[in-house]
Amino acid sequence: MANKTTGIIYQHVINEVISAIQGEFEDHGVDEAVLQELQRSWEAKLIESRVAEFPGMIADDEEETAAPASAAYYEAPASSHRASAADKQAPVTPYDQEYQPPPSLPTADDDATAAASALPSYNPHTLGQVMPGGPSSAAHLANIVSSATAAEQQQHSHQSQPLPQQQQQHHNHQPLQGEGGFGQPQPYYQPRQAPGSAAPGPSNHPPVGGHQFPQHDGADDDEVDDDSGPSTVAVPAGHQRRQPKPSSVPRQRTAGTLTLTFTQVDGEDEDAEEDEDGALAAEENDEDAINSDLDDSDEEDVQNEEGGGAEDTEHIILCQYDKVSRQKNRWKCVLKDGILLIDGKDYLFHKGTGEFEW
Amino acid sequence: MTQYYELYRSSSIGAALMDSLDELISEGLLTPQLAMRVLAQFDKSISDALSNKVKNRLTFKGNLHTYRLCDEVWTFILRNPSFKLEDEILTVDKIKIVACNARKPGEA
Repeated sequence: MANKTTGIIYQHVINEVISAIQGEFEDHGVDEAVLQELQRSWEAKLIESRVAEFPGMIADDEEETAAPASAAYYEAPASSHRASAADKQAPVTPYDQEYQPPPSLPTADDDATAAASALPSYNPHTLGQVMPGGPSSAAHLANIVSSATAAEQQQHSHQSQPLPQQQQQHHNHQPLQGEGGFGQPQPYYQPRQAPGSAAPGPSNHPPVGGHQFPQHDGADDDEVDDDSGPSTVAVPAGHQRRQPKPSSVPRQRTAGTLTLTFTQVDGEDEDAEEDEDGALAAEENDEDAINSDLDDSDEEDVQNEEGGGAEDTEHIILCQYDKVSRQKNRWKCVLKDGILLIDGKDYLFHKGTGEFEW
Repeated sequence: MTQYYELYRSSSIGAALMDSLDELISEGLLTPQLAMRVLAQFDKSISDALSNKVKNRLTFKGNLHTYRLCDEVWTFILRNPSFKLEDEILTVDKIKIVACNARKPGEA
């Protein structure tokens, strides 16, 4: 079955990326445990997506925790999932050597408590490199990460400080937020307090890092992803205006997509408003509406092209073309190096030829 | 240095990698700069694997609903395509094809 080779190739790609990037991790002073965690998480997500059969990978987190003890490794993610242990063991033995669960790591990020307790064991080393600016006691650094992973469970002394001081800190720490939590720990706690005390809402999450792009071309498209009402009223310029912000806007998507932080240089910082005063949430929504109008037009285009876009299951080919030719309404194309996603399964091809009529 | 397309990042394996990187960044274990390096390595590895490791041949037919060439990227939307890949035949109601130029901008 063609789908079977997909898993083998994917496994190869994962191994190659991980080993090739190892040197860079060392150069950046990032602990190897992080690299192992990256590989584990990557494989787990890929298996979860069930796009291919992965020999040597473990089907899901539930099984993964049980795996080291029971040796219940998988040969196929879905079909053998419920198979008996005896069935599994025979074909699976070779994979034992391939897969080595990271010994000291938390098994899954869905278990925040376990992560919080396990992380500090290697954090002082890692974060000592990454966070040179912070107060440098190892325990302090460990607490930072603990609070990042298990926010509500940690009752850190910093977090119980009275509100007035936090507001004072707001003025000080803003330029540092763009550091994504690597520069100074204070901003790290700071917004966390805000959801409880001032402004509830997911967009108030702490600036725990992410990709940062300076944005010079208008309002933030990413706003659409925040939960916001569909209102269309614009906020008058200058209304609730802050000082022009040299700082970046911390923003975190909660859905597991890439976290993007934008530096906005062309207007007021509606996110900073929200950080400082949750009562402005209504205006935040208005800002969102402006942006989503722009985005909606794009989405409509796509939907029109795709004929309504009603179905969510998208079949797609990502590839390169060698040649595309047309005679009257007959098209021919020669494709190569493609990934074909059909019915939730990935298929790979080296060469592809297609003929179709318009 | 040869350039590699970032096209495959939106595939299942690329999206899984980006999610994982994002989580590590959120936890403060990884810098965005290093994550970008990982993605660049992924671009290279997946491109090499597809051109050197994969041998499958694909043929397909269908009705062309939409075509577009923009910035050297072809986008096709096919209606009722049928695919033949290694003796497997797959049919769906519609598929989108995104194809970058195999001859990359930097090359002759």
